[in-house]
Amino acid sequence: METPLFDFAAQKLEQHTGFSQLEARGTLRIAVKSAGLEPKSLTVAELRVVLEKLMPGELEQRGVKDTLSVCSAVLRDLEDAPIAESDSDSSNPDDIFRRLAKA
Amino acid sequence: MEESAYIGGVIVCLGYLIVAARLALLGAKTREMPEQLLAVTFLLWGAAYACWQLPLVSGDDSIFAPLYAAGRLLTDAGTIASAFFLRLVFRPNSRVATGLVAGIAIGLALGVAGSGWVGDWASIDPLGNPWWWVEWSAVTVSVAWIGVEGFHHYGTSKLRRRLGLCSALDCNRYLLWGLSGAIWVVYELVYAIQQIEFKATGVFSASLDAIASLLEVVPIILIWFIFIPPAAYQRWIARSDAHPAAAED
Repeated sequence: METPLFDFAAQKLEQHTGFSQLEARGTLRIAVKSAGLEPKSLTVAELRVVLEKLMPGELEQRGVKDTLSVCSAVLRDLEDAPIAESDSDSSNPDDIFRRLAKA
Repeated sequence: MEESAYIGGVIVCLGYLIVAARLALLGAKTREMPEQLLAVTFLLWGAAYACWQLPLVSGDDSIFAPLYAAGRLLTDAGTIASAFFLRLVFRPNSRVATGLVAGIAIGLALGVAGSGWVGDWASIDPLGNPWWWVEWSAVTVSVAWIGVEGFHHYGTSKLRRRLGLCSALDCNRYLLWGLSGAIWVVYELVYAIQQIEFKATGVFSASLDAIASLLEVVPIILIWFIFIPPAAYQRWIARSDAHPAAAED
């Protein structure tokens, strides 16, 4: 089960690319996974990095022309969305282990 | 052979108890479950080692069997706490992980109850007590899970690190966690061979005893480097953040 944030970003990707729902979700899932992240515990900060650094390449591979503006549009939608404010999950293993190792 | 076991055991006991105390203090401050579960795990494992060292320190053979049995129970309880930790931190919404925790707990409970039923309360007879293997399997699965999660997250953290989502220290903690689990699995295999050998011949071989001691001491050193990393070690690992590409090669 993906996070609502993943669902939101996939929906926006679908809108801005003309992808089908399946294509948009699949592309986003591949980008998230290749960043070493889990769609089930994705945070806003992580999604931003995925959209900025990996998504343009993924979209280019799938024949999308203006990849940077598509990613910027999804990022803008994300900035304006209430879902971005409610997300502050710090219970991923990285954060937990960092906390446990802190003196 | 008893000298190496004694020294190794005391080092491991103190190591676990110190890390447990540190995590317990953190847990009291944060009130978060992961640190509390891990503190309980290491406290119980440290206490188990204390039980196993006491007969050697006192030289009183009559307390060996009850303290050995107590040590096994403490180890098993700590193993259950560690399984809860693994599920909570790495697989919080996974039914498979929930099943694995239940399986480990049931395996340990059956192993202890079965061993008692056949009269092997201290659980020291792998040749005559089939329940010994049930308990051993549950412990081995749980430490293997530690290794699997550590190595899996080490792999994914290297990808996150390339994007600046985590640091070299974050990656290194997973590597050490995975190595600890892997070494504990090897220790469990050596422990099984040792117990079989002892039951068959009546003696522990010095070489296996030395290997077992080493396999007990190394993971606690790794655990220290995860949870109480020396400043110099942190600086050394963090230095590779300046050249992440070189560090990956």
